[in-house]
Amino acid sequence: MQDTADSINHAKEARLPRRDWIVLPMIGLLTVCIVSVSTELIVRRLVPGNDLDIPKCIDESNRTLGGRGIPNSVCKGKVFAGGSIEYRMNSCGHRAGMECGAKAPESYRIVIAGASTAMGDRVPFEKTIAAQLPVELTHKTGRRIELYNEGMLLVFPPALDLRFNEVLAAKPDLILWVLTPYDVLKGTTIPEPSKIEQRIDPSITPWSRLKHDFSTKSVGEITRDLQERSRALLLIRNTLYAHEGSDRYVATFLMNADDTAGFLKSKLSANWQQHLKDFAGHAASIAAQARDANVPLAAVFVPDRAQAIMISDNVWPAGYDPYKLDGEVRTILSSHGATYIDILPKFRNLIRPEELYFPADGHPDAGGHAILSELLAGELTGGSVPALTVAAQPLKEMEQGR
Amino acid sequence: MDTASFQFVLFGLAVALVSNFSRSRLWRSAVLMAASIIFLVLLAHSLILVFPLICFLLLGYVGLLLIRRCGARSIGWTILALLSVYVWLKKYSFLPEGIILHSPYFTIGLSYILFRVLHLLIDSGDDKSKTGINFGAYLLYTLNFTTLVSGPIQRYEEFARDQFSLDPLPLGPQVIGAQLERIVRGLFKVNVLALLLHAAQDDALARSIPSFHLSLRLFSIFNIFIIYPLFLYSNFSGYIDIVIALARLMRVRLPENFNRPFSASSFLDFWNRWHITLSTWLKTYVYNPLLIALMRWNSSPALEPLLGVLCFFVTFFLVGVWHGRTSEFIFFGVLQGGGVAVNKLWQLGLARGLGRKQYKTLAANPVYIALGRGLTFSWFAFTLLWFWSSWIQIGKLLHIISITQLLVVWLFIWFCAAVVLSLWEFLRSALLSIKVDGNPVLTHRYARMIYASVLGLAVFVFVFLLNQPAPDIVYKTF
Repeated sequence: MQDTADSINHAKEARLPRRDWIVLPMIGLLTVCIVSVSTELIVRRLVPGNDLDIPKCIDESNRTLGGRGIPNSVCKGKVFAGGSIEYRMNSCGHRAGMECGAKAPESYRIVIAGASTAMGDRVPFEKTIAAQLPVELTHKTGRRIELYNEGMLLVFPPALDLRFNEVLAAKPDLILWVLTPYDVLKGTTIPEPSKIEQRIDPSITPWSRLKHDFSTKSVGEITRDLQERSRALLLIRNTLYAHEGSDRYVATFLMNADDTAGFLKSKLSANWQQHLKDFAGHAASIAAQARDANVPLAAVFVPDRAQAIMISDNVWPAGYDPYKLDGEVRTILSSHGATYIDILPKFRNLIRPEELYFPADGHPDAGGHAILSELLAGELTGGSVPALTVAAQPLKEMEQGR
Repeated sequence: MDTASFQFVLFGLAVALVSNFSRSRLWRSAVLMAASIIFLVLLAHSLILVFPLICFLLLGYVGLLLIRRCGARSIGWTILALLSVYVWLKKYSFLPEGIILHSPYFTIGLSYILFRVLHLLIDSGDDKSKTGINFGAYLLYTLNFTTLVSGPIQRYEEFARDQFSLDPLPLGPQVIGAQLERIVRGLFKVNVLALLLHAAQDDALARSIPSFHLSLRLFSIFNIFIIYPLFLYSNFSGYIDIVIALARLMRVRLPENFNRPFSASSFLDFWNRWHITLSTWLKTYVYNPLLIALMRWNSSPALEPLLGVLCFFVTFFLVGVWHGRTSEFIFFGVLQGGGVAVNKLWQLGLARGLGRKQYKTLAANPVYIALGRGLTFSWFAFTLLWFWSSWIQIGKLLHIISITQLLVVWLFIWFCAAVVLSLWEFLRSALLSIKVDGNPVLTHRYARMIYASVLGLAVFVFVFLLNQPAPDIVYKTF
């Protein structure tokens, strides 16, 4: 084909028929429409998307207080790249893997607080931190460790601050607050309903959704929504992120807007400084509530996928620092008396940490939860929390525990 | 503004538009000069960084003036001086550390400028018109933004014919359409195809771990070998597509640099189809003079074919060496030169053994062609190992699989390439044989509009919706 295209350069140019000035653009437009729509339809048929019916088990209507599990509910379904998932809520509306109520006698209860990563979004319960960490801790300490998970979608710091009494109501011996860069970003204000991801009601047809969107949203918003909803794009993005080199992924990630990638800069933008300031306010309030209840508060910062790669490769471009936000969060939490569990340096020893995350989604996957549990168990028993420090445990008791 | 990016294309289109405001050669040259300077500054980010490059260009022009004044006898010294400065600026690894210029400076395009300047200097010995080139034309030719970064290496007379013509090349809707289609094709190759192949190679490299099962390791090595040539082709030929089209929109024809290289049935044929302007340049300025010199030195007809083989080796050894400054590239050169020389010896041996007629019959045999095609691809893929990796990486690779296993992988690549490339050739001819009004349906403007729209959509998705930066143009660094 190239030969023919180039031969036009040299031959005397024939006149383009007048009708082609209309026909050619129409063919182009039609091709783009047919290819886009048919690709999307084929991908939707071949690749399972997210048919997990979240509204059946989590009420996300109250933006101020974040998601709230519906007591004794179950939602099942498939999630993209995560396979079949089940969210089973207990009678208190927690994905805890156990019934709510008093802890077992002589056990040490840890309550996990936080948002999606803490809840184990897209990960089967038995593979989440909540399920794996107590096993690791019991094994290491010889004590019976019980872990009650109150992590829930959209429970960012402002929401957690407001409902921290619920965490305390579980009578923990230790509260483990699982944080991510997204928590700091969302530490500012309660997200506006229009700005946050709306759950898609599977009963609404794509066509009626599109009609609704065109009547209520701007073209920019519709394009962004289509980008987020297109399964073909999700598939390409997921495949690319899963296979491309870590350096390329980081380069691509750093091209994102300040809201997404700005936390990796060595000099945080004014926006991120404001996010940190607001986060500090909520962290102070949360730490104070824990202190008043005489419950130790420990916090762990789970790195983002790009951040984990930068730490593991020990390479990052000038003007960036993957430890920056971690350091800021540590300073804030430590100043309020919370125990900061720093697992980021441990990521230096991990090979290909990018494989511990869902590539396009960015949440830790089952492998990620396993590694996080291992790192957390090591840190918690290594002296961060005196009650769990292995050296402090009588050897006999440890042996009995096994 | 990176090369082959969307911004580069927009810049080129804007320059082409302004250039076509007038057909006057003065206007078109002024626009090209302004655009080339802007492009250079945008690429280098600072004028100070370009200073060594400017000095190099001035040295080339002083050489031309010297040849004009002193005649052909000064050519040798001028070329030597220019090559020395080039080697020094490119920081070849054999240079002592003490003489290296350590402050940062801009060297992108230096190799291609060297080829253009050397061509002017060498030709000026025979063609007096070249010594008469004025400084403006010299700068325009050497700094032309469409050929600055990675070629193609255009001859001065071809450039001058189009750029300074009183009756510039015609530019109608069909030509514009064909060039826009070529730009889309180039963007697709660089931004989509090369990106995907790069990701696939990254993945294969990551999976070549000694602890993996042997079959997985062999599969990874197989992928590593076959993907890189395809990536390099997409990356480089995509960029070339873009610049050729942009230049044509400015009414200048650039020479083609690729002609379906993986269809080549021998390694000699491959180098007639891959980076054509480089191999042509070296054939003109190394192979031919060397062969003539050797034949003058030894006029024995029996030795003549062997001298040709030797010249082929030297020429393609230089092709390899030109690519880089380390010992890996010297070995890459040995493999290129060795491949071409062995190929020539094979041809000579077969022709002698079978007789010319039977050799021709054999060379036209589809199975022989398919095997030759597969061997050419597998050899090129194997030699590229010294192009993209270091001795340390090669050592690691040999730690993963043994030499015998590597040989098995190579034989398998040969077989697969022979089958797949033959099928591709068959499919291509079958599709092109479907004709309407004597022309293939697939080359009809409507079919090409569909083709360009699909490629354009893919580019839009990857560049704008997925925000994926394309891998750098590999040949930019040479």
